[in-house]
Amino acid sequence: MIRSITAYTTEIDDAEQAAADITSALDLSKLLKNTVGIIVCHNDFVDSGAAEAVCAALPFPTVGVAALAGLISSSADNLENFLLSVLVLTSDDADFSVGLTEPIESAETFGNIDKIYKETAGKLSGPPKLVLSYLPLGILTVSSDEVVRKMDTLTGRATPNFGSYSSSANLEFTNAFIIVNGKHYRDRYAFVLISGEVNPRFFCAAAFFSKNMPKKGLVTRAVSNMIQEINNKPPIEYLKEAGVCSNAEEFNASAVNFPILVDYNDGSNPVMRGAFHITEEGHIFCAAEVPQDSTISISIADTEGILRSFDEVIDFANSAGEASAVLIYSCIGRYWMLQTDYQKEMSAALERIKPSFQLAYSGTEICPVAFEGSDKTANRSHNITCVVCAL
Amino acid sequence: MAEAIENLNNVETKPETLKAELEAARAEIKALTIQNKKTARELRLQADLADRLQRQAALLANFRDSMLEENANLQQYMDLMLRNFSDIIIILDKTGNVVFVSRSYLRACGKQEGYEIKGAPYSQLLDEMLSDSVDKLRDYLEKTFSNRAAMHGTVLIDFAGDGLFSDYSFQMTPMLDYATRELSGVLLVFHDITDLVAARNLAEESRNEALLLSKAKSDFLSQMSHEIRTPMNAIIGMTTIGQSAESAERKEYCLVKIKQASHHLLGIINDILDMSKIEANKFELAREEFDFEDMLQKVVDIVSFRTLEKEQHLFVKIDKRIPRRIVTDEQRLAQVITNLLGNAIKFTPQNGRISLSADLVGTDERSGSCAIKMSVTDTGIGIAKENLGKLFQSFNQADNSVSRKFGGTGLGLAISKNIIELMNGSIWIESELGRGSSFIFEIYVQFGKPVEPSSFAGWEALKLAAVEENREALAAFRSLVYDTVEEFYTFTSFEDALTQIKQKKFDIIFINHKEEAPAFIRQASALSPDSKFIIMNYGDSSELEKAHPQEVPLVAGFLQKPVLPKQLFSCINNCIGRVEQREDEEIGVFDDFSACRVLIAEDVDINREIMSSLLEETGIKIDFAYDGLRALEMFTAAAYDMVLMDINMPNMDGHTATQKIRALGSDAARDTPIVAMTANVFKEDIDKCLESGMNAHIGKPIDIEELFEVMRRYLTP
Repeated sequence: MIRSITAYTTEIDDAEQAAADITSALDLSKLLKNTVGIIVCHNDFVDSGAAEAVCAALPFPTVGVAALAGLISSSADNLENFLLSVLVLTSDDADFSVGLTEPIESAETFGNIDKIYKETAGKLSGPPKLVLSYLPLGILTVSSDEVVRKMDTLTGRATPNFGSYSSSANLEFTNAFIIVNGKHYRDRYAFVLISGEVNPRFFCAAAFFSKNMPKKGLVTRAVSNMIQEINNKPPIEYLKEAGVCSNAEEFNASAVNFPILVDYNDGSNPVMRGAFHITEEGHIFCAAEVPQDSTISISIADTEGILRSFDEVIDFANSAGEASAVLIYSCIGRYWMLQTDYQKEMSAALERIKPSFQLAYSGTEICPVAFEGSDKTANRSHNITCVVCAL
Repeated sequence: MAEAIENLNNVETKPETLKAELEAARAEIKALTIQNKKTARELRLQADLADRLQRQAALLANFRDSMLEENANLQQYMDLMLRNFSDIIIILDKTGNVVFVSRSYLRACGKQEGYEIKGAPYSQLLDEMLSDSVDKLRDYLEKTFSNRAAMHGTVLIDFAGDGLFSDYSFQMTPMLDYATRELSGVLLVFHDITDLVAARNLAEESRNEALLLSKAKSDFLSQMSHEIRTPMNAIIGMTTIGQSAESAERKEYCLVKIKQASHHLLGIINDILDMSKIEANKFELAREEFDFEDMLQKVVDIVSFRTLEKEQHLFVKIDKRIPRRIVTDEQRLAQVITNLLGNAIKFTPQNGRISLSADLVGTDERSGSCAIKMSVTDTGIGIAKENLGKLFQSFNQADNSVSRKFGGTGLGLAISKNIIELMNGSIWIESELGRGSSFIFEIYVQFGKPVEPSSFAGWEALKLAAVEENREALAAFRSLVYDTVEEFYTFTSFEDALTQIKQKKFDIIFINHKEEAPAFIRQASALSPDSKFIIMNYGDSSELEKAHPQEVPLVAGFLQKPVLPKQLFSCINNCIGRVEQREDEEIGVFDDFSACRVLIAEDVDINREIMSSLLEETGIKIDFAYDGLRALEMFTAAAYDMVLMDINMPNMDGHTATQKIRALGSDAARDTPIVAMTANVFKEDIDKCLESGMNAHIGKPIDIEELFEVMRRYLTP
């Protein structure tokens, strides 16, 4: 059984104070045989060294992301824009092993993940039953879907994979990084393998919007999460015709406000994808794969869709009951789409979620999805979605 | 801070104090720095947020403007589509209230454009519809809303409430939001399929008719198979029996049965062939002049043996006003009457009564035509009313039990109807189940050449009597003679007749044969030795002669019943010593062709054998050729008085051989009669024979009388 403790600090500039805030909030004498800390914090904590100081002060490995805004810890009393939170997972009968790849420069090398995984898994008492994944958004050489598929291959059994891509302080996501034991990385994949007595449950709440731009586009050329042509023309032409923007700069300035509805044209329900920006090559860089021959349309985000889906998250979190902890990763796109109501998800979480939880805004979410009428699950990457893992 | 700075500049200040104050100042600076950073961060955050919101707002404004424009374009075409679409379209929102109805709906309901229905619940629409399917529509709509199930079907609706219902196919489609898949409303479409339903019904009717016809044809084929097999069985069976029979009488018996069965089989085959001609619209009538009464006599002769077998009474009445000679197809008219009489005999029980009457119903002197109405009435089983209409359809008898009990192809009436209609006539039935039937037809025929009326010279002083217990027969007899003789007495019993004979002398006494007849004749002849006695009987007189040899010398003659006028007149004339010359009798007819030579072209061995046997007694000399080519060679080499030519032969067929014979150019080649002798009996076959140069046509199987008649025609000097 996994127990959890949360702690947070708002101290960015005084690294020592920040570390002291965390250590004093955690009763380290109550830690069990195996422990790992999940850390999420604003970029400024990394820049100031506070995150490093906190991690150095903790006697267990720490893994996490720098996330923009929306950092909520159940132990916090109020909403905080700048917050570092640590969710400590400790157990006598579950063990944890942290892995960190080398810089991921291509899909072929994949940061030497095969070797790293083997070493990491070798430290466990049994096969992993849960993978927690953390990556920075700046990795452009492999898509989130490829990451998910790679880990499925490595675990051999499509072990449930739950995690987050870090969002960053600016809209171009170039300053996104992960944190492992106090150090931050812009180009690596950090993962926690958990084996033993762990029984995670998952929930995905995708936001679908009631209004969609009537003009549809056929993706005539795409590779992974890069849309290269729409209706046999450069994507910017489609975006102009759809009335989204008049040039790439305009789109890049606020791309996340226009989620893309993707219909795979195979009878399955359409899915939401976030668009990050238009690359120098004129391709739309999306947060997850958009297959060729799919049909896309631009949605108009509205508060109602987001909050409706977050209600489902709250209901699931509260139904977890005996859960030790609840990890919630909500897409940063939702935060921005809420516009002036950007704090509504966070305030709702603070007011209504009962179990211990950690919420962070995410650039892309990783979470298993269920098959209707079956126990089978499949790991997927998601956008505009709030994913929840109850331990 | 200010105090600390002041203290720094004051030399009196102790070092310890300065140090503390310095530390405090540092701490304060640090705190302020941190606070500044926090403030800067907050400001930065808010600035970022404001910037982002501003961009979003601008982009969203652009986006919404272009969407509005796009939507406006789309809306325009949507409006055009909805206004012009012929199907009825109703759009309901997710609560079931009307959002939109098409113009076609308003038109169908007889409402003007502008009629307010928007916002009304769908139940109101359904309540306004006149249809037995309203509950079904309601149920389907509920399913569409609750289960998000697309529903479809067909209904009969009167939208306008004016009593005019139309068939519609309908579709109810749940409209789901593209992204959320939530129900946003329901689309109802009604498509008018009235024409389609009508076409489908027509196709269904045609199909059913075709199926019925197919079934009837199948039933017919099955029945025909039985009908054909029955006489075939008799032929084969009797042949086998005859082969093994030892006595000549037995063999004769078998041959008679074989002949009967063969004729029956031929009748069936002829019926089938006639029907196939009718079905192929190739049934045509010949036009020939003939004696009407002679035709009826032949028909009566054919059927009378059957009435004799069933001891039935057959009466014939002919209107004196009907022209003696008429022009139409004698064979086909006889076929109709024979068929009707045959049916009457079949469906009338033992001792039943059948009458055949012919009446003149109108004449048109200008066109030289007249209408003759004929009826065959019986006291048989009758026909149920519901079956009357079916009888003239081919492949139908009144019901299958009839065909099973009484047999028959079921084609006779259909063929008869076709013949009558080709004669510009009509045929109908009057019948009552269990009480008998009358089959009646009227036809239009041309007058034949006028004939001198029968002469009754010498009759005016005649006193005639008839003894017949059947009053109808007596009446028919009376109608034939009453105005041509001096007196005509009728008696229904021998006792009454004898009583009268004691007092009056009759020249001729006609007696219906009964068991008591011989005794009556002896007594009557004793009373009136000069009277001549004529016995009337159904059937051949030879049987009577054998049964009552003593009375034979007392009997002046026999009349076969039913008695037709000519037959009666001839008998009376014979009794009074007048000899009549029948206009159609040929003088000096003989069947001795021993001085003649005939060439017969026939490729089938058995047929050659049959011809040889049939012609043997005529003494004619016969040469056989086995194909047309050989016939041509033989004709060229020898002289023949006639050629009998088969048509379907190897090497050279009959048509070609005839043409080549005629082309030889000699007198013999031109004048020698060539007669087709073939199983090809359709009119076009006969025409083809004549066109190829033949003189006449005899159908196979060969009718010996027909063959002799043709031979007499061409070989008699």
